[in-house]
Amino acid sequence: MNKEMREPTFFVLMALLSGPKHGYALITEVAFLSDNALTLQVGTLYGALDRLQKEGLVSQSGSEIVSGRHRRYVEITEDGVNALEAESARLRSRELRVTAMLTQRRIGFAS
Amino acid sequence: MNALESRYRRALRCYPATWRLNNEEAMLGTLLDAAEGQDRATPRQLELANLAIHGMGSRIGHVPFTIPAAVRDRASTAALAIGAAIALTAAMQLEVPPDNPSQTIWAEYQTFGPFASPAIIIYSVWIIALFSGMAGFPTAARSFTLATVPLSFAIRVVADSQNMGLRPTWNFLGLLVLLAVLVAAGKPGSTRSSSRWLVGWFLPALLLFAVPQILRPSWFSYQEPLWLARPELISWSPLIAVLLAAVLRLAGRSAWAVVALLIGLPFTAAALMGGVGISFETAQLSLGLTIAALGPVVLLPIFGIRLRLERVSHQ
Repeated sequence: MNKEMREPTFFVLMALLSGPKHGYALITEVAFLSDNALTLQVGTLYGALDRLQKEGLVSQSGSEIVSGRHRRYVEITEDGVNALEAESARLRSRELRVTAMLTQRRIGFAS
Repeated sequence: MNALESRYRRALRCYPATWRLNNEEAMLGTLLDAAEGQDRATPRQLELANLAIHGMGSRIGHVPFTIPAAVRDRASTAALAIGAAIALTAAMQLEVPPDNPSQTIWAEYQTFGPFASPAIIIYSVWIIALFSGMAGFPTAARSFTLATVPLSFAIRVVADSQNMGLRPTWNFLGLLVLLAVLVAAGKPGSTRSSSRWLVGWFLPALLLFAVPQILRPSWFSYQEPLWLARPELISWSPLIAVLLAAVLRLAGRSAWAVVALLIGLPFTAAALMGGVGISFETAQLSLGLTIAALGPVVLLPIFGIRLRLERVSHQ
């Protein structure tokens, strides 16, 4: 079965590489990392975090109250880093394959 | 508590109590942070819809989210192709006028221009959704099929109010709605060779749903396809789904076996809702349902797929 990581999961884990983040910081970081192509909705984000926590890819790392608002921080776990590395390797391999095929095609046209 | 916070708290009531206990304050903080970041004093409709969808998803035990994404994507692809095949055959069999409409039941009712009823719009949207999926636009395909859900209700209500007696039955519309929900639960065509799978499903399904009319040209039905109108045909659906799932499982295609069970659900519901009065059909439907009921208990744990129907604990 295809275990390809979904785009929101990929970007959430990537956003957590730079350190623990609270909900809104994650949303803005994901938008930045995806060049604004992905705007996470709050319901989607917390659904994803709940699932990732159950899978052991992220964990809670404390909370604070700022201006009367609750902020809960999450951080990526070692398993999360490994999963992201595996996905990154899969994407790299795909990119190398397509680059090789494109090169082959250009050579083919040139001859 | 200001008005914005009250609106968000109301929206978060879609989530079950256990979820709210653990996540409400953090989610509320994020929602308020986002509103402040975007300089908004009111929630966005998309935001509220998103909370409602995820909240209801949590309430029904995360069923759509615990079935692996790859399985849901395949079920979505299959449901899109099957729904489009049903829509196309229904458009041809139910909506196109007979040779002499004035001498048939068509003369007794209002029609929708050259078509029997406004349901032609729903069928057209399904076909557009199929082409969107095949062209590599899964989000558009999902949106189009989801649009058929409110459209089905609206069209039926309008048709009833306009004496368009040739409109589809609630049972048929319900079947299409359930297939649309299956399409929306995944990403149609996101597996490899999506077009191949869509065509691979669509053409056989088209043939399958056209067969009753080809074999029995004397049979006719005005408000739902023949295979749905005839209890002796539709009542086989749960049994076929479970047997197909068992064969696929034995062939080592566990994901496809789950897809067969999922696709069988709307047809089983249609068989039940259609009312099966004859004893033989009742017996075959009961047999199929019994096996279908055992399916999730026996087959799913074997597949290693958890189908959690109990309320999820967020500890």
